[in-house]
Amino acid sequence: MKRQTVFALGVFLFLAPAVRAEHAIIDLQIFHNDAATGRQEALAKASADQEPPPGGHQPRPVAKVKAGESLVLQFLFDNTYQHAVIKDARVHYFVVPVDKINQKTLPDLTRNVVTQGKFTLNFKPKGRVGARVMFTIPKPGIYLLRVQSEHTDSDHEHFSGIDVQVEQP
Amino acid sequence: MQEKSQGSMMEAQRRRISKGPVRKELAVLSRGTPAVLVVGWLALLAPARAEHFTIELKAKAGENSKTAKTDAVALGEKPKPRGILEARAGQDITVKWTLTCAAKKGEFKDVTVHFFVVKEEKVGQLAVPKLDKDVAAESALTMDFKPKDKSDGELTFKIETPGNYLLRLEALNGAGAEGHEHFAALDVVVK
Repeated sequence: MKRQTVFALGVFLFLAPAVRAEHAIIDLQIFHNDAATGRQEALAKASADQEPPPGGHQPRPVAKVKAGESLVLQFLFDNTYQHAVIKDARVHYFVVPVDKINQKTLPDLTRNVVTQGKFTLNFKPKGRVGARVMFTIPKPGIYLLRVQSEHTDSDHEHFSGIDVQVEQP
Repeated sequence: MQEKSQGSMMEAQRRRISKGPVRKELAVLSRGTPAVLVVGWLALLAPARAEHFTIELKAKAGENSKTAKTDAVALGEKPKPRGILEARAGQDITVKWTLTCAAKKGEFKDVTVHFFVVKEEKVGQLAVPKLDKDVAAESALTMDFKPKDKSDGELTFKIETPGNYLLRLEALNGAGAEGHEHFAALDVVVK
């Protein structure tokens, strides 16, 4: 009996992060954009992660691009929390320089941001936010492309991130 | 594949609205009804339409900025003339918008708040271009709106290629929105 209880508790603890992760499904992608033809080539793709812990659990994919290259970011953020409407939730995306690949801490989002956007809404079950934005990164370096939930009145937030390694053209 | 399907999903939704049953009803009515009645009905409809959603939209490029407010268009109506924002190629353009449900009662389910910036042939053109190419930025969110509910957004983007662009925010597929679209739009001239 005791052994069963311990096993059940273990299963519950093992499943708990996965259950939490199901509050959001995120599909984040970055594409190279051919300005002449309008064709786009996928460079990297990431799915949902969550904080805490800072920076989440999963290593981020890395997209290698050239400075000044025409790029497109795209995300779809689905709310899979079934129990209530989350009032005044925010979905925020940005591209910002970071010090290193897979950096766990977020940099200052008030300086040197390449592009960003945010949407405030009452996030209902199965509600969705998506965006597709063309952008370029003019200077070489390491950058973070990230979309994240904010103000969800929860003990955790969901996000998805891709590191972008920008080299000289 | 996915980016194409997402773009076409939004386009299909836009088309569904523009071919909605209430619009067909308006077209039938205008064929068989004395003009004075139609005009009278449209005149009565106009203030009621304006109460569903209000949109405040502001676009800024350097020192230049323009605002746009709610327009609502049904069959046979011309939209208001659009303001023109001038920008340089590669310059940051920041757009802020707020869409508020101005209805006094009821609920608008599954409204898609759709924003896009797409190349157009000329400033002020009435036709909304297809969103299958030359789209600088596009976003969409879904939400149910009760009276006074609001959603807002802010995006910064660049347009690298000079030309004329249509910048538009629209509320689509609002059940109970009676067959017309609420939107706010600007022209962006990129030099």
